[in-house]
Amino acid sequence: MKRSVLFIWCALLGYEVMSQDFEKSWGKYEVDTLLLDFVVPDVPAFKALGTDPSNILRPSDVQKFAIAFDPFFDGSNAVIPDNFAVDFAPWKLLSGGWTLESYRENWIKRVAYNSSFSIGTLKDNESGEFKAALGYRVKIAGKNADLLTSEYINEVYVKQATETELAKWAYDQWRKMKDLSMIEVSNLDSAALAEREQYFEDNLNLFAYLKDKKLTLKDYNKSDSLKAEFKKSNYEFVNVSKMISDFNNSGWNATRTDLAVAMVGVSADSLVKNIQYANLNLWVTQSLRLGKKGQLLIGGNLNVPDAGNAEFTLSARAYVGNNKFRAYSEYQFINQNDVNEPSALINLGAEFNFISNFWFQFYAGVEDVLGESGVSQFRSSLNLKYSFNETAK
Amino acid sequence: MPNEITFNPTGEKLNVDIQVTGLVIVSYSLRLWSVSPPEEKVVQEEIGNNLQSHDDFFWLRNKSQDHLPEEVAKNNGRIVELISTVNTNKDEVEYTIKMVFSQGDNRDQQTPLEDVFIKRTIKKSDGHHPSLYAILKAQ
Repeated sequence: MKRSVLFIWCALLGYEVMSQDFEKSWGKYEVDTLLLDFVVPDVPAFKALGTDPSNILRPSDVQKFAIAFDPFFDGSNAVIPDNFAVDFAPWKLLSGGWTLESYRENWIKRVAYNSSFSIGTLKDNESGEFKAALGYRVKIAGKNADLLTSEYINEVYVKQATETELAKWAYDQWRKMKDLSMIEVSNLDSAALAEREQYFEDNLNLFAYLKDKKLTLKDYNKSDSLKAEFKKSNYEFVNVSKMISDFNNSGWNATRTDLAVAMVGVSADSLVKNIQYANLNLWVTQSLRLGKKGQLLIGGNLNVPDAGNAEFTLSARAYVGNNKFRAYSEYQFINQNDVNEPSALINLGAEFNFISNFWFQFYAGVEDVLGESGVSQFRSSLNLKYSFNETAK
Repeated sequence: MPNEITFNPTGEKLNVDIQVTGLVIVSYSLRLWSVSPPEEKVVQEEIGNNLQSHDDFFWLRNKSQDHLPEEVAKNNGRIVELISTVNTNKDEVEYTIKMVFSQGDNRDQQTPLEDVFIKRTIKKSDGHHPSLYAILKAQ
């Protein structure tokens, strides 16, 4: 719930920032047609409604569940809430009963795990219309984008076996230090076992040092000189968590495919039964790893409205950087049926992750570089973005 | 209260199957302790992980005397200890580690006994080292 509240706050903040950008930068155009939506959005339903505050520029992983809504019922009628957002990954929620083996062997499970559904509603305060959208997104990870299916997991298992050996040795040391028999240990309650586990985890380096030097915990506790030696040694045991963290950090630019679809309906009032089809949005983004520090995103977006021609966007973005900071250049081609001529954008920008899932994004570029309308203009923007779903860092 | 596994001392082989659910990476060390006072010693030691489930099934016996037939009744009073290391690369994962005890000479025809399990949630940056214990008791 705390995360949902945080998200709502961020969404409001982000929306306001983007609305201001829109007014200053993009003039008469609709936000949706000009904001760079060539990467599959985290929450397709938001994006399709034009309420996605972050206009996500990074591939991301699905979240188990998040929700924020106003009441569904007004008197006796089912109504569309003024503002409603829900994003959920049902198979991720159910995965607690899966085995790692089945996840590795069954691609359907992997697709299901990386799928999420979203529902969003928005009330237009000027027209009084309600928009509602249903969205679905899926990540299809390349072999090295998911540790659980990568070959690197074998190295993790080797390291983990060493750590388990260390835990076993440390638990034996702990038992001897406490002068407990195995019968007594097997009778310990869960709190006492948890305490022992915590003691080991808090003193991982010490136990690794003692095991390496063939010393006992009992001797160590009695000897000030041994304590001084250990302190002086700066001994460090690289645990498995560190290996996994390193893998994740180096995987920000892993090869993967993201797909999303969202269908939007409009209702003149808040009654669910009056919703009518408005448009359909499709997104696809292929992320390609370019060495250790680069990534190329190739994306497309198709918007099929109820009336009029379909509109499509083709884009490419090249990143250079790491999981915390990256600079990019991009090119985007938009076929806008309502402007009667195509438009193109060239941008240079940077993204900086300053805390948790918060990102600063800056970009500057030229709009309508094709120059057919004779109105090529310099554009720039600084945004604070919140990545709703977990980023692929 | 210790986890007691009651078995038939005149029955077929006593077995334990280590089962892990949840998208976690688990390595474990399984030890069978003989604790006839005053001596405490490990009579069987196995290591494994949850990469493949078919190799997580073990007959409980004094492994140093594999060349001799061992009576199932000798497991009476022995302690089964499972020490694990658990990690995940996912945000927050619920997992269960279970020692499933059974009797049967044929792996596919087992008579189920009791289970001992631990159920927890792990975060990406954490590493857990849970342990499980069971005391084997002849009926």
